[in-house]
Amino acid sequence: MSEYKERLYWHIRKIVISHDDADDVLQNTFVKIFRNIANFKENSKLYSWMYRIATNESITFINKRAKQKVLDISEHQHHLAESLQDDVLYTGSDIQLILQKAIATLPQKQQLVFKMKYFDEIKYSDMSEILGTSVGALKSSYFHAVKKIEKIITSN
Amino acid sequence: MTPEKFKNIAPKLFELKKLKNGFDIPKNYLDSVEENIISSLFLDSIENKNSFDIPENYFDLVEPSVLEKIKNEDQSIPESYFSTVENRVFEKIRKKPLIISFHARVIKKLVPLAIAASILLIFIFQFFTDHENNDFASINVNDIEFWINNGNINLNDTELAFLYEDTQIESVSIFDFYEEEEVYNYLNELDVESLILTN
Repeated sequence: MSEYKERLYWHIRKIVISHDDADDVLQNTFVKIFRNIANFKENSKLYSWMYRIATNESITFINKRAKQKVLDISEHQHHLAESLQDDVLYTGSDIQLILQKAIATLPQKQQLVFKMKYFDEIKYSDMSEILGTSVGALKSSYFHAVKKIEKIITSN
Repeated sequence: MTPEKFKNIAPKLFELKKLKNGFDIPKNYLDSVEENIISSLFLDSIENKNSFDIPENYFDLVEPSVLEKIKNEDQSIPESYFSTVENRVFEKIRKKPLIISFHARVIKKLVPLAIAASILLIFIFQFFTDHENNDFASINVNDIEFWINNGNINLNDTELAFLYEDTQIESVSIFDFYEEEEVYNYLNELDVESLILTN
């Protein structure tokens, strides 16, 4: 647990944005991991398996929150990015805030790809295992995300 | 994508990558997170344990047993009552509600009241009217005469003398009560001879 908790925390935090939510999701993730450890197949990496659980838990969490607030998921993600302005646990500069808001404009899956590659520099092969998407599709998705975000940042 | 290629495609993003991501965590969070996770695991293990057991096929049997109970409790329920009750309720709802206008309601309530009040007024009026007329002064002389002539009162001379003992008969003139002309008319009509013969 000690080995993975921090990496998983940051992965989750970049998806759910707030620390409190990340804490909830991290705990749920470890509960799932412990409950299903017997089902873990050794042909996949433990790290990828745990990342997959964390990703699924994070996505489920924000979708649930959007539903509770009767918001479209993209609308909810936009609100999450906006909330960073008042978050005491966010110390990013104005340009970093613009980056977060720009990421929030991407489709959900593309956001995941961008965050995993840009912030965590996860290899495409590992990402493919985690997200269940081909390497080629991931590369293309990341390329388009980069271009779109660069455009938004430049215009700001 | 190589860093060089990335820099060419997105120079701003390339620069931003050098910065910290901006997200912070509370002090010592990562030291305490393990403890919290272990607590969550413990709670999860408790929540998943259900110590309560149910009889075999309980959920399959619950519906027929409830229906059976209802049937036994009230035999007067017509057959297929429960399957048709919903339709009948909707049918009732669909029916136009009976609307009684304010005007009609007022008439319905006021008419009997007005009749009762009128009857009461008639009785009261009659009672007071009769009461006012029930004195001796209002009785017609002819009525008294008629009453006496019909033998409703028998007075002999002694009784009359007793009644009018203070009255001087001699001083009472017949003309005090009757007009002169009336007396002459009376005497003209009367068979005086027959009176003399009688007395």
